[in-house]
Amino acid sequence: MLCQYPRDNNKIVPSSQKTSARKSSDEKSMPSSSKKITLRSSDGETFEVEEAVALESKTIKLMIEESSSSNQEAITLPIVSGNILAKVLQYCEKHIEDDRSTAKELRSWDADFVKLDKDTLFQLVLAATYLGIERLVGLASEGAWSKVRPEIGGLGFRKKYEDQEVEMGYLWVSGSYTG
Amino acid sequence: MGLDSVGDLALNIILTKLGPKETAKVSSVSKRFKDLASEESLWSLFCLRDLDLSAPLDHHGNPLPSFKATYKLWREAFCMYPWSLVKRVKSCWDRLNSWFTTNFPEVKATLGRGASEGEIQELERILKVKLPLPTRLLYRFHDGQNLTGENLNTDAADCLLGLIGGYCFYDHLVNVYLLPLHEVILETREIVRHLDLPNGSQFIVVAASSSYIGKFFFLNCSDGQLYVGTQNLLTIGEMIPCVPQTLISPVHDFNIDQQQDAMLLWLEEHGHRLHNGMIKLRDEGNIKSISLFPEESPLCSTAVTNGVKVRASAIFVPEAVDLSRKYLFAYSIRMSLPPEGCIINGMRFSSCQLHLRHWVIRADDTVVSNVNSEAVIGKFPLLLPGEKEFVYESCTPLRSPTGSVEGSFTFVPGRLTDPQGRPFEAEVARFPLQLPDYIF
Repeated sequence: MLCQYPRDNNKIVPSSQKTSARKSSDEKSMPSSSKKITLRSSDGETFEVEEAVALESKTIKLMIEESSSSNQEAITLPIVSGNILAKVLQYCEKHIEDDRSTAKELRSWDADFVKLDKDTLFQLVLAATYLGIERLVGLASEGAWSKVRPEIGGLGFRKKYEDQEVEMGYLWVSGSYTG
Repeated sequence: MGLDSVGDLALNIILTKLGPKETAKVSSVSKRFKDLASEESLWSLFCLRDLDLSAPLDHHGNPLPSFKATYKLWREAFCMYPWSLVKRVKSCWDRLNSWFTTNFPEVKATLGRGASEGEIQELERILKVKLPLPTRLLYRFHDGQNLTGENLNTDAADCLLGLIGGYCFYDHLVNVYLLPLHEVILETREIVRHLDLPNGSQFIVVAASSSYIGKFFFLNCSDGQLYVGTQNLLTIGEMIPCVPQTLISPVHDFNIDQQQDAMLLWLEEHGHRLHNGMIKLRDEGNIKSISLFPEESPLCSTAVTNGVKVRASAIFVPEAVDLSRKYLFAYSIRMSLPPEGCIINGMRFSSCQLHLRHWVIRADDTVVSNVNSEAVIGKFPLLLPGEKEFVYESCTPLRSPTGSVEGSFTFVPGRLTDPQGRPFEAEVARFPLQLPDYIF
């Protein structure tokens, strides 16, 4: 079953047309950015994306480089489920257009992107780690931690849990330098 | 909280992103977090990232039972310093250590164990100084070099194990080593007593030549600059700064980032030059030493004529300088033949011998010396194909801190006693004489 990953509502132009709008009118100079890659999630969903989007993932990049067939077999990602893969691809799609958005816009988009529940964020951290997308690992980690932190009462070095060993083990944390 | 194994895995990754401090703080929250925060995988990553450690070792190189214990020990041992500075100083020593372990292990063996905070404070008390933070940290890792006795074979060899190295021309042998704290105390009292320095001056001797030549490096503890004594050191306390002044940042301020004093910059630069081949190990029979003559362009020139390759470079000799009258430069000339031998107009010769030299020395752009003479330092080197370079050193005084030298050698194919062809001139390409940005 082929499905497109969920698109942003505020996307102005579909991605395939965006690519040609950015390039010059000379068709011959268009590189392989129009080449499509098919990705398959652990639960069998398939996603067709531009090669440039897929290559944001170091793992997928390696898989493509190492695959003997030059063509069009779907790449299976056995530990990433469909709904998570959809979010990952949404992130990648947004972040290869770096020259279209300013840093401020990207930050704001990122902040909206991580407004997800804790479990999804945890799964996103794992998926991004497996796929080798460092920036997404960082973003999802921040998002997940902001959910966990209030539950454990913040990061003050407060002793909720009395343990001598723990205390002695981490005395350096409250040392004179913050560096 | 109901965290499952997905949560644990994800939290492990999240903690690597948060860093060691947050991980440590989190461990007190609950048993679950204590376990998560104790994972060796986390601490091994932090040790690698912060300290470039791939094995759990303390700062003296002794093994520890875990990476978690390692990180803790390092942070505690250096809690009185900004962590970024600790990382930088460790990195500086790592670079030097790795080069010496590979290329000159005899020097590595002389590097002392790190001094303790107590030993440093003792020096500060005795000499009434306050060491800049970067220099203190440098001594915490290695307390200078121990050049006496047990680890050495011959008396002659221990002259030349200075970490900084040096040069030799005529009888002027220099080999600079880093003084251990107890020698810093002795030498500082000895010399500063003779010098006419203002009361409460904060100079200490940190490096010196192990030969009888008096070459001394002083660290000014209040402004963090390094100085080297000139010829007039003992008469008028004349010294030259060794590191570009603009790079030195306030060294007693705990709160700023990027602290650097001259000693740290000097050692970092030295490590840099060793690694990029600008200076190299000199190996003459059994005597090895670090030679400070530059080996790469633009400071070292190269010219090839009829197969005769001549490489030439100069160094600044601060201990022979009189700032009001003269500068001194030493230069090293290396000549060699390739395996094919000497080739003149297609004819091959299996040797050639030096007869004459022609030298043009300039101060700024003015010719101050134009010499035509026989031999080099009294010798007529015979070059054979594919052999090691023939090297000699000499020197020239100059009235200005900038100049150049160029010239040519007249060679005879074959030998002087048995010439095989007409003499020819082998070029010595111009090489600069200049006051360097870093003085070693």
